Amino acid sequence: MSFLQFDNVTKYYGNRPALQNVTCGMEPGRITGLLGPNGSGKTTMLKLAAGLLQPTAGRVLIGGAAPGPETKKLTAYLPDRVSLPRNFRASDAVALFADFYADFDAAKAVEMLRSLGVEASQRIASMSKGTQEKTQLCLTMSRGAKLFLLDEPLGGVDPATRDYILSTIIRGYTEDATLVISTHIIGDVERILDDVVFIQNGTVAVADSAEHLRETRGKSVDGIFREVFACL
Amino acid sequence: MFVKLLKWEFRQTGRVMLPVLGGALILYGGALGAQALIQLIAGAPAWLDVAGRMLYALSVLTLIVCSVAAFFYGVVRFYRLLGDEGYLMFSLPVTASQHIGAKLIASCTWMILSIGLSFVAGGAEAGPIVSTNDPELQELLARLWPGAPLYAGFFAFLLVSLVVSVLWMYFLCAVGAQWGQSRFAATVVAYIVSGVAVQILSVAALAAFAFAAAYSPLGQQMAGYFLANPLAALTAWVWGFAALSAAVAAALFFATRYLITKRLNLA
Repeated sequence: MSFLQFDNVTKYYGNRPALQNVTCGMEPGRITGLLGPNGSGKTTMLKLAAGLLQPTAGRVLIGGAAPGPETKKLTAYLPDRVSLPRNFRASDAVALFADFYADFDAAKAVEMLRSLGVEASQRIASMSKGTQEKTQLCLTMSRGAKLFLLDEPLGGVDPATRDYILSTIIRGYTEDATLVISTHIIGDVERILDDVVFIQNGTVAVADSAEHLRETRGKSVDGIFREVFACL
Repeated sequence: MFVKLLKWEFRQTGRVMLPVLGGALILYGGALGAQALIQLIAGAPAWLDVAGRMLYALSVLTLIVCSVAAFFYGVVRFYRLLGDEGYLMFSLPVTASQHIGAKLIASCTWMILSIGLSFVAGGAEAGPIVSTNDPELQELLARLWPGAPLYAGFFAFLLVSLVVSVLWMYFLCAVGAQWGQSRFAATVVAYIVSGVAVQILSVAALAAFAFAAAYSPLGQQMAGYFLANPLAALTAWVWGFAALSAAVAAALFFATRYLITKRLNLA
């Protein structure tokens, strides 16, 4: 069984289905791209895996266990928005992660933040939105987690920042970890993906290794994405 | 993990509440000092004495306001937990019960501390107790002693009511959070609707109780007992209310926990 497994997962928000009978798995030591247009259900899948949401039906398993406090110890989740309290200083955020996650490398986080020009005493509220996002990414990638869930880490950032983010992800993640990146910006991220899952209207449209997809369809993942979602 | 969460909650709330309480205590100290100075001034005009007393009253009032501030700040923090901050906090390896518990304990602690300080500050005006051997004091204590279980019940009721008031707001925030982007409006609507519902239910329960007390044999029996043993009956009554409030607190806690685990929908 995959380290992160979705078994017939359905999720409704009120009467509106966000996911319908989603079954797929993400393997250890591989980077999986969760690809799909806005509103396709990518964020919902990551929230379910992070334990922020409960499935309406089906089950999500992380290392064989349902999401809960034990799986959260193994999971590093980067939401698609800044979630650090605005009154926090950078040092507070580092201390919070150090307090709650045994796998958190505080020295690495401080070093990464310093390279960003973020001082320990700097308040989150005084940072630009981009720096807040990068700070959050540094904290997430300073963990030695077994599962990384990165929700739209490249959303709304300039190309130079994208490179920074991608290199931070590659440097930060441990080789045997499962890494899931949700995005609709395929071009930049394609080179680092081992597997891809295309999500369309809350269902899995394609799930395969990136290499196999390129071989069988004769196109880049970006090209296949444009083909699959062409009429949307 | 709960202890760590509690520590974080106190650290975060302390950053706001300590300066607020500190400011109120400085004001209180200043008021006491001003009063002492006025006493030293021979032939001080009456308006100066009035001004000193008003400053003192204001300083005690400020301490009471601190408890209200602690209440609202606690509610705001819980409201934020169900917004963007929830993405971080609910990713921590702690349970929903621990989140609610830590926020509840921190909020109630600051409120109790503020209320306690305002009582001490307000009581200081009554003058110090000269000695516990004072015969008048001993006589007063002897007369009050049979009512000790009643006072304890009343104190327990106040404490539990404090917890209920905080949990009630948490519950309303969790209800409002079911409407995602419109959660503030939904929380306000939930507050108004639930307030009206509680008022109607309270009046109905009171009317039913009065009717039962007046016309049912059991009610008349109880009324007789009440008249024959007013202190014991009142004590049982107060403790009963405290127990009922504790049951309401438990229900609110579990309902809030259900909403933020099974039906969490962060804005």
